[in-house]
Amino acid sequence: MKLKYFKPTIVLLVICIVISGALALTYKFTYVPPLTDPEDIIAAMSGEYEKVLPGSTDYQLLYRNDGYDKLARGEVVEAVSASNGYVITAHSSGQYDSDPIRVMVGIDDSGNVTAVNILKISETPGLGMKTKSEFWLSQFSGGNSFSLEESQGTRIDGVTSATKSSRAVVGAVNLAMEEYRRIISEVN
Amino acid sequence: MERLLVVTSTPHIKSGTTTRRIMLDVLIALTPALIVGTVYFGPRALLCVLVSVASCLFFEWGSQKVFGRKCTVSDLSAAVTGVLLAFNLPVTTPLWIFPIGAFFAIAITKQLFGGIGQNFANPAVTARIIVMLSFAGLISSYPQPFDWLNRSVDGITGATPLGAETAPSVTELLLGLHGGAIGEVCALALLAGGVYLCIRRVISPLVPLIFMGSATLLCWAFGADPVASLLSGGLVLGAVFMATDYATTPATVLGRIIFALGCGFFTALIRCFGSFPEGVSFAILLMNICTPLIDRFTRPKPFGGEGK
Amino acid sequence: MENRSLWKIIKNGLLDENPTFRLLLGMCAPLAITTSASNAFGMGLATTFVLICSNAVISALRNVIPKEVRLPAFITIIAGFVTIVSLVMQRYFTSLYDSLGVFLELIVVNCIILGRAEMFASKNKIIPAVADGLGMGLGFTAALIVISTVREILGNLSWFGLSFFGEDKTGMLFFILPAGAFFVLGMLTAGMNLISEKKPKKTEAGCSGCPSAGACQGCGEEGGCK
Repeated sequence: MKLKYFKPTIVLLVICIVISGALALTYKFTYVPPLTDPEDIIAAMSGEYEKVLPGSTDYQLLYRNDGYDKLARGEVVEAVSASNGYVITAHSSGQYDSDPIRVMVGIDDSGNVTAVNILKISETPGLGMKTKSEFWLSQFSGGNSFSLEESQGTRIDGVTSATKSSRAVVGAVNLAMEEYRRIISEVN
Repeated sequence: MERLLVVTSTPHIKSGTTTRRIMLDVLIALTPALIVGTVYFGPRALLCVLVSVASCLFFEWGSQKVFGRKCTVSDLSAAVTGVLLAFNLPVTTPLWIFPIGAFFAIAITKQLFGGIGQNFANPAVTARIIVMLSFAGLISSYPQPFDWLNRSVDGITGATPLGAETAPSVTELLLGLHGGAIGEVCALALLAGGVYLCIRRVISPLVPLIFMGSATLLCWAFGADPVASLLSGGLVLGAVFMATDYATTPATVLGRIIFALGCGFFTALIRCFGSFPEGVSFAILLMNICTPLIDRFTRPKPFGGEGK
Repeated sequence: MENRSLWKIIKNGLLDENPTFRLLLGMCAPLAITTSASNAFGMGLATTFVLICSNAVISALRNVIPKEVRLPAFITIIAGFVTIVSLVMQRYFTSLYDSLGVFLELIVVNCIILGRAEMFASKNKIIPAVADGLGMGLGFTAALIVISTVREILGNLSWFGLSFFGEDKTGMLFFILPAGAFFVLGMLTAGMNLISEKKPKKTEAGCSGCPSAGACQGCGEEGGCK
């Protein structure tokens, strides 16, 4: 049993152990635990809430489910009630493989969208990323049901050559609106 | 010593065919479609064609100067490319798009690769694809014929027959009474031009017929109306004028048959299953790129040469 | 090769053996990430960091790693550094992390890193290996920035995120699409070839271009003797 037969295995093993150790260390220093306490969440996000629902105060976190940090697709992940409306966050569905788009929708008391903001997006710059621009998102303000075609609700002009991304954001906003209607009907 | 025998180099017999002559024939063949286009879409159509031709001629002269080559603008090949490029775009195209298309057609596809005869793909087709991908929003409105006469009505723009729900009648298709690009609507005018070119022996009817036939058959097999598929969109324009470019099609008869079948196949595939309403440009580009491969496999065996 | 000065090694990676335009290694990042100059810059820096670190470690261990397992060992080391970069970026540069998406992890299989590990780091001392990593990384980053500048300016009318004409204007979308990526890459590679290799001028046909023009007792008339 000569040493040379074992040398490759031993060297690889040592390298793997050292690297795993370095990675564990790095992970420990860079890990950010997801927020669970409602007060923490409100404190961290109130700036964003105010952006989509101007003039609002008194945020109450109705829920933030696991899908938020796990990046679940096609789900509403957070709902917050405020003094003059609601702020609902939904994840898009239908992306090819990349992470879903996190869309935050501000809804006023009359049931119309005040503003839409995109919190997390991984699309191609110049194409899908154009859905993040304020100019494009301003199309949603004032409506309560949206589609890319003329069929129902407010018509949204999709971004040229970025139909899937446009469709994903429109779908997420519609999801948020459905959830809003469900919440309102439960409250009454 | 006096020279009794004078020998010059080949060629010894000339037929009078020059590039200019061939290109002139093509321009003549395109004239009916040009007239129809101007009548249907107004004087702006003629303006578009002129801007396109002027830009192509300019870029040909310019790029040959930059590359230090002899100026061959007078052989009119750039003019033909200019007309074909304009024919592929709707009359509502902003005029500044034509110089951009001309740049990609002449300076990039043709001159950068070595000039006439060396282009890797048909210049008009390549430029049209690049322009279509770049400015999709600006060139998607295809006005109906005679819209330009109703100034009061905001141009009734509609999709081309390929995108419309109800298929137009055969007469409407032949005469081109439907929306489309400047040169592609009137199948009759284009076919007339094609017949002229065949009579003048500029092109052989093999590729156009097989291309159009296979595309129609396959579209029919995939569920579309065969007559509408044949006579609408750029199929006739592409099959007659752009799939017959000398430099980018195979040299042998068998090669050309394969080329035409491939074009037809991809046209039908993209039209019926793809997200673009028009597949002719992509099909021609794909088969142009495959041409060296086709040539390699259909190389004729020389007499007395070794078997495979 | 061993005695080349460090500066020469760095310059080599930047120009003569630029990984993107000369070696044609690691091409998926130049094609995918270059729609935005800031993304390209971030990707280039991340790759450079991984290159330098992995070259250093592999060079330090070059006499220890047996020949039979060198590739698994290299990949493990490279993957370790990429994961570290990925974790740090996720924490401190979240928007860049989101933009790079899956391509950050793909640095592991970027041919430049494994290629230089095999070609250079495993055969040279640590300091030259680090210099090579730096040079190649900088060359890669420079290539990415050049390509993305062209694509972003022509396709999106912006540069590093600053729009020239307003956020709702787009340029020639073709350059943002994958086809445009190949096109720009090809044109730039051709351009680099043009600059560095001046081809000899084509000679004219006929007597003036003939190499034996002096020896031939030709009448000097173009087109043959009359």
